[in-house]
Amino acid sequence: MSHEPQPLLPRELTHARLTQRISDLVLHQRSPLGWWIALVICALLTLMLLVAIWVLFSTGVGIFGLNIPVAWGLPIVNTIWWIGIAHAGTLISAVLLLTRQPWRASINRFAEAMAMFAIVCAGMYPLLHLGRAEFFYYLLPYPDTMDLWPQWRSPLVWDFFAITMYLVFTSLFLFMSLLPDLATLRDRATHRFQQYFYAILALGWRGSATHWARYEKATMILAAVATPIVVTVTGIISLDLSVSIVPGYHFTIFPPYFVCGALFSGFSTVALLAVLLRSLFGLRDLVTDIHLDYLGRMMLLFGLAVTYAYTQEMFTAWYSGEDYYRYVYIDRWTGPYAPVWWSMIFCNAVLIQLLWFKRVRRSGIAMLCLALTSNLGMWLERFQIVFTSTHADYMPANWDINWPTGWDWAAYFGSLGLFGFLLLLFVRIMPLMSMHDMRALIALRRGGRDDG
Amino acid sequence: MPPMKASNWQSLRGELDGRRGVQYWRSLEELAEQPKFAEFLADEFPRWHALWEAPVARRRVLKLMAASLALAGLTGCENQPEERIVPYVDMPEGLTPGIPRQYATSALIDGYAHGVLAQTHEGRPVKLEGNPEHPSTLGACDIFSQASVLSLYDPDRASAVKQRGHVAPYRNFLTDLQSQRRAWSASQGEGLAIVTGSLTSPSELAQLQALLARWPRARWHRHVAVDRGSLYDGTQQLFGTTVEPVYRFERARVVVSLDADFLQSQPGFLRYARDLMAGRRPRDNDNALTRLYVAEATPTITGSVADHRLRLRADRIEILARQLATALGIAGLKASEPALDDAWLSAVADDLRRQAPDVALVAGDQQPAAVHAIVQAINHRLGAYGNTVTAIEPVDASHRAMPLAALVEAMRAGDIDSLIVMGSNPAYNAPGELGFAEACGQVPWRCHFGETFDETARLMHWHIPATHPLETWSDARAHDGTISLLQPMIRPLHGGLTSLQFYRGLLDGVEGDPRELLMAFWRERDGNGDFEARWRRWLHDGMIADSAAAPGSVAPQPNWQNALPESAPTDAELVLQLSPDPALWDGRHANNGWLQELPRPLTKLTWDNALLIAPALAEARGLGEGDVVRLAVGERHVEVPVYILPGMPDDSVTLTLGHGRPGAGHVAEGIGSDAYRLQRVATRWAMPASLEATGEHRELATTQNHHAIEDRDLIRVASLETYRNNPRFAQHEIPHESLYPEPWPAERKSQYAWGMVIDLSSCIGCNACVTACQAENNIPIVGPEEVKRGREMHWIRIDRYFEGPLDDPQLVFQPVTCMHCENAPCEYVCPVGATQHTASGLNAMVYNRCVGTRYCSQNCPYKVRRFNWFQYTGQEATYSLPKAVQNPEVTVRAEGVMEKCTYCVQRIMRRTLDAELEGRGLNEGELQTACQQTCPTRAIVFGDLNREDSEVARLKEHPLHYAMLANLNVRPRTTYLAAVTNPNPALESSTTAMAVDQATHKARTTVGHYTPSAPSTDTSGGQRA
Repeated sequence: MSHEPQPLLPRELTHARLTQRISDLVLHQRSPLGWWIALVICALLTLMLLVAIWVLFSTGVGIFGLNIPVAWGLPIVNTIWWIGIAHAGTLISAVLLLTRQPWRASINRFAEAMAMFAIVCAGMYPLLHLGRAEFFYYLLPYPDTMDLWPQWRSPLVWDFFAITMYLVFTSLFLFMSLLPDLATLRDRATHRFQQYFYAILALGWRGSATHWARYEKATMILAAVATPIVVTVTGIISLDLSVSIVPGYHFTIFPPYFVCGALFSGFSTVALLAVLLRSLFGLRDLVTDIHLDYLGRMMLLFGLAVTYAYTQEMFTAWYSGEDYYRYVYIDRWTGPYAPVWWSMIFCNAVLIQLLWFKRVRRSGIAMLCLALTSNLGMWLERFQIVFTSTHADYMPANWDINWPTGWDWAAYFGSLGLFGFLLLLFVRIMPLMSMHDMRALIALRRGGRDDG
Repeated sequence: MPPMKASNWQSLRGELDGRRGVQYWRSLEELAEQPKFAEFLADEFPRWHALWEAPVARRRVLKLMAASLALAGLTGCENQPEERIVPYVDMPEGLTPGIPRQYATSALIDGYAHGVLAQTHEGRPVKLEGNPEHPSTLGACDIFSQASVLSLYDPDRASAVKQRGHVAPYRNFLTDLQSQRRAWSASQGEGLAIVTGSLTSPSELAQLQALLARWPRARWHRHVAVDRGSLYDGTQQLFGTTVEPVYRFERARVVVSLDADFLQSQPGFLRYARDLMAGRRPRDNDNALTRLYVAEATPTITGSVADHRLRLRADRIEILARQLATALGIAGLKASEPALDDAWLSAVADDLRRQAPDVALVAGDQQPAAVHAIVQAINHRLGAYGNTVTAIEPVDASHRAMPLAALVEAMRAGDIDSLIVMGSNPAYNAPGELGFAEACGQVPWRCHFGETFDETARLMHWHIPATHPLETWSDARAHDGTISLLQPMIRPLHGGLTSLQFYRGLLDGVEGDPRELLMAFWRERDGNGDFEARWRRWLHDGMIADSAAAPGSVAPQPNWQNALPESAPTDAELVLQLSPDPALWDGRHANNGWLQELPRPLTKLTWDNALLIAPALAEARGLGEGDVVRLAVGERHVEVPVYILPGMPDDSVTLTLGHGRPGAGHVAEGIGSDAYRLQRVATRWAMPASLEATGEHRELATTQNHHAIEDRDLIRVASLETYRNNPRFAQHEIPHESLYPEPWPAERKSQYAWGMVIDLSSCIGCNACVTACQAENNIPIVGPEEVKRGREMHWIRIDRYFEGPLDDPQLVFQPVTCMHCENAPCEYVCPVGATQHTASGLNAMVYNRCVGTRYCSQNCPYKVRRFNWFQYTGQEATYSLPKAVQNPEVTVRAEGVMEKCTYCVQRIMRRTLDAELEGRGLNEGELQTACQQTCPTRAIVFGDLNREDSEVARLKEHPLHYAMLANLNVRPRTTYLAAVTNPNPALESSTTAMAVDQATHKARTTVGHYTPSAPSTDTSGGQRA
């Protein structure tokens, strides 16, 4: 990634001013009206999710739009989508840290938070989609009296471990990166309650050189571990599909394809949050258009990778010589789900070309729109893979159509609400920018070294 | 009883004065010692009358006192059945709790007996199988018999005697009847009318005759909604005597059906299917196959298996019959119009001439009498009588009764004082034009005897519940006249009466023991000694062996042609054909959930009926599947959604009967449209109609939404000629084998290796296996809404594909069960190991381990797995089945669990364990799956692949054998035998073309890619939007 000489930070920014601005957001400023409005909306959506879950558990998984042959529906689509969103958070934290990209400093905190809450949403769906969710622990290798273990050949077991590990890891990583900032908040807090709260969470951080040395080491190790996790979690989830013999699922290209797609939607979501949060909390000078530019480049890169994957998928279907695979493709273009496929192509392959233009990449509103369409496109991509592949597979007599029901949408929008709710609460009680990373950036600039 | 008159007072006083000692008197009437009082007593307590009259002896008093003392304690108990029941403290010989027992009895299919073996678990019938000895079934079983078990436990069944809708004791009825009987006796039955349904029972007929003898002026009318009246009329016109032809299709080389769905809906259909398809199975007989021609309007399964199907409007069948008869040299038949299809006609005529007398022509029961006369005349001329056709006296005696129309007329005129309706439901299923229900109001005393409190019962003053055939002592005759017996499997659940008991009530005013009544009839008939032993033999067999009606000899009357009515004009723009529903029949099964949810063989519709229209008509009117139209016949109309069925004539529409019942019960409530409303009295089955779109749309509950096979080689068909030239035509090369070593199944060594072969040459798509599986495996019903969402639960389904031109395609059926793949794709993806392979090759489901990820279903290329999306069983279910009907040997599945065909693992375990306990191997044929056992055409063969002598192992080596989707290397254990058809080379039809194409495996361009929701013939996409 080329590094441009333009400033990522305002010239006049000092350690003290930065720290004050960020920590005051949490400790001393009242919440803006927009925040309250957003919180109420998100809380209502979360309530809707809870109602949907209550109805689901009391009547059965049949409330969702599922049938034979399309026995997987929106819950699976949403799982893959949310996991994909989570990925950019981890990637920004880990890969950009490892490759020492300085521009990550102002966005990595909410990217990590976003990852954390996206995984919560993603992890919820596999449970909701089970016929007998109360027996989910059968997937665990717990010692039971009948010596029953999970069936290790099933990708769903791998999934279970991948998602669980990802959740544990991401929360650890987020907490690690919060530690110095929690100590800052503890020191600057004036309320008794705030002091206790941040003191407990700060785990006695004193900012000693030993702490910093260990912190740096631990962060680097975690980052090094995170990178393979980013690749494997989505890779394993894609194996749910590609390990099967269903035409439309069974492609060896799926793991890298899904990782690219995940990062594409993840970077889009980071861009989305960056634009929203900076205008909500007046941080345009810290999250600059240059940041958006970088994010736009990442979106373009992975958008092009995803488009390449689409072409490869089609090529494989044709080159396999299998009528069933070819038919699935023709059906995607012309069948009942064709609008989904073409909308996906429009969002992910066509609109993304706008990002070749710098003006677009540096425009907040344009990036907001493209982030929304890219996320929509990625959601549609998962939708068409999950729905179209089995709806018309081997035996024409089984072919049937299946559409999501109102409960599906309730659960989906509810999860969006839950995500927003958690994120809004997070930005009010935790610093939404990594103060120590920003300070390091300022220090770097002062030191005149700009080694990126 | 007449009240006391004032003039008697004086004599009463005198009477009392003249007595000495303590005297008690119960009423003034008794005191008067009027002879009428004695009469009253006899009427009121007929059973005790003799006792009352008998002189009181000392010994008798002591006996009565002792008995009273002994029985006093029993008053707290439930009424004991009057027959011997099975006391488990004193176990009957051979009975072990937990081991089901089988009893031979009969199921009634519109009155005709189908011999069945009822399996009872601890006195509770749960499953019917065909009686292998019975001539109508030969071990097979039909959907109606199978589903009758569910009707037995139907909570909506009539549960009590009702007087004007209120529960009343039966003795009240007998009392009320008493005055009626007196009136009838006085008038010799003038004003009494009895309506019966079909009547094949000799004992009931005797009772009815006794009744008519007692009250000679009483009128006997029949009402059978789907009757054979035109057949009887036609034979009457032809032969001068009413006969019922019985076919022997196993002797026929050429069979021609004129609108006759004899594989599904004519008496004897199970036997006919067996006999006909035995001659069409290349696996048994590959040098000659019976050829089948069918001319019909509404596509039926008979038409679907035909080598040549002629699409012809129902009212034109008669013209075809006349032309065919003329072509075969029967003179004097007017066939004014030009030949309908010259090539077809001459090819059929040539074929018939060539193969005579091994030919059989069948006319549909819904065709007019003239068609029957002509068809039987052709049969007679070609020498089929005595060979493939035998003429017997009509099995159903009700044809001797007067038709219902005459009764309605009399009712309107006020000539009827008392009306008794038995086993018939004219208020619902009489032609709408007749107006039976309105006319009923004119009758002062009305009584209904039937199994359900149906539409007719609701109109009547009295409703007497009848027993279900599984609760009944009765008899009935099979399609060939064989006398079959019905014995109860269970005590009447709701205290119903058998028909004989009801007749006894009518005749003598008393109840009578149902068993004794039947035995008395047969004892009297049997005449010579040792009746008991013979009776036991009959009961054991379920029938009286060799009691088939003797074939009579018949000859056409001279100039019979002249007696035929002129053929009806056929210039109507649009003709509505009414036909019995393949699952609900005339509506009597409407409250049976298994049958409601049974996908109809051709349309795959469940629950609702729809107006069947041709694609061309849909295109012309701009109609799509589910569009509601207003269908009008004269002034009456119904609003009904349309279903586009390729193969329908372009100017004909069809609506099935039996739907839209207001009084059937909870299951049938609000389902479908009542076609009887449109029915006319004169032309009941085909009538001019008109339709107009209403702009409304109703989603139909179909189980198959895509109808073209998309050039996939799932079904392999060839003509006999192709098969002879290339017997291995069904063997398609598998593109590439797996790269990986194949560990399975060589490592799985077991005593047994279960496998199944389904013969597509035999399968007629009749659904018997589907119902059998449902009954055997406790498969729930889910209701129309869930079926619309694609959530039906049947473990075996019959896929139906159209091939060839859109307007007149070929149909093929393919039953699909779980394939029990050796490399099962479902097994390796289950995260909890809930589906596992057994050593003997079963793909087993572990219900209590299943968490419901549904990955197995996603990965199943055959999509045979079914999921419990909601609680489909038990009290929470929308359509909960009674617990009593459930097979105790099969787990009832809970919500959130996957299920699928198990190859009837419960039967496998029972038979193999039995064999093991007896220290022997399993005999070939001892173990049958439910679908196999019930299949009338023996299309399903199941067995042990390890045995070299097993039929299934033999068929797996057959050149026609192939595995569906073999290229996936899943190694299915359920495989198929390719279908072989026998088209007439003289007719260059689509069948031949298809067969040739199939054989050479070329891509075809004529496949009807058919999208039912759009009126156009869209070739893209191909599925329902």
